[in-house]
Amino acid sequence: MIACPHCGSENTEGSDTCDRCQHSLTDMSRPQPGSSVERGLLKDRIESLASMPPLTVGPEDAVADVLEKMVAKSIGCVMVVEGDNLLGIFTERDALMKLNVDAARMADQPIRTVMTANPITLAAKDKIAYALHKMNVGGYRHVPILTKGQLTGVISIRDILAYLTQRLS
Amino acid sequence: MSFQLSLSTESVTAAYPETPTIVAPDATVEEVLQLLRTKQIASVLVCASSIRHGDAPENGAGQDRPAGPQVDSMLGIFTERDALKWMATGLRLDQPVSEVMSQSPVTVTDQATVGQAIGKMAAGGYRHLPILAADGTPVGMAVVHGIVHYLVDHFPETIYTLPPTPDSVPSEREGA
Repeated sequence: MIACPHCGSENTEGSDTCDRCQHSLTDMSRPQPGSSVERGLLKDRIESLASMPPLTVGPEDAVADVLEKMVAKSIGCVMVVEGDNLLGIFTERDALMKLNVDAARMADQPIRTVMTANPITLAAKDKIAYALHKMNVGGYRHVPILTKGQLTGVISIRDILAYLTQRLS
Repeated sequence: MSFQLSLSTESVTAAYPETPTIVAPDATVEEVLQLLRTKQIASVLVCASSIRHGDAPENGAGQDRPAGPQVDSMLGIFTERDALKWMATGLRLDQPVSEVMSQSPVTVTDQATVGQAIGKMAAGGYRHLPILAADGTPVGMAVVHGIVHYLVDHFPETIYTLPPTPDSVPSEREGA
């Protein structure tokens, strides 16, 4: 049974409008967040996470230089940008899958040959639930964050884990 | 379907741990990197294998005698991060993995709770925590993706019913 939010009368499951007052019941079938964490996920925006400023490199930078930077800064992923355009992302995973034992031979190659082009991005105003969705379903560890099309940050699965555990415990 | 969230009582083994992949300390970096790539995994445990009770089977003798249960004592872990460091500096393919692994990583026991595992992961910034049995044998690997998956299990409707892109607004209501 669906209780009409306007007049309180009960309607059969699946009704579009209230039989008594004709109030629309369409929105009543949307999933309602059960816990405070769920409400937070649907309400809080990605920009509220303390994300790290991204480490950026140019598309023609040599693989060896990029690797060195990642190790020196203890960072798991770099953004490949040209001007204001995000061209791709290069992560530890790319290093393992594409360079692997050929790292020495590929050291002088430009990073654009081994980066992941056109990564999934999210906007800073998107809800955290989307970030969690991308990471859990897509298996990503980093998602670049754009503000009005400009790269402004990157959120990692660690930020998400911190957010969740802070609220769950 | 609703899940009772109990980070302080549920075992870490509920948070989708992976089966650990084990390599010997004298395996070369080349072998390990290729193993990681073929199996599409992010970490291996470096373990010294020994035979329990010290009765190692002699060469040639007693081939049909069942060997005792193998005990792996963990020496270290080799992850993507270590691979990256090796690529940036070392580049000696025949180097034994024991020289470039992270020694004595932080671990949890198989009795630990999910909450304890998350705490250790967050504190050290680790993505992999080997799960050890009481006798020190590695029995699993708690991974950050598994933990996040476990957490999402508690509110599947909020996450799994999202549209593929955040700003996709239907132009008209669905229906015939």
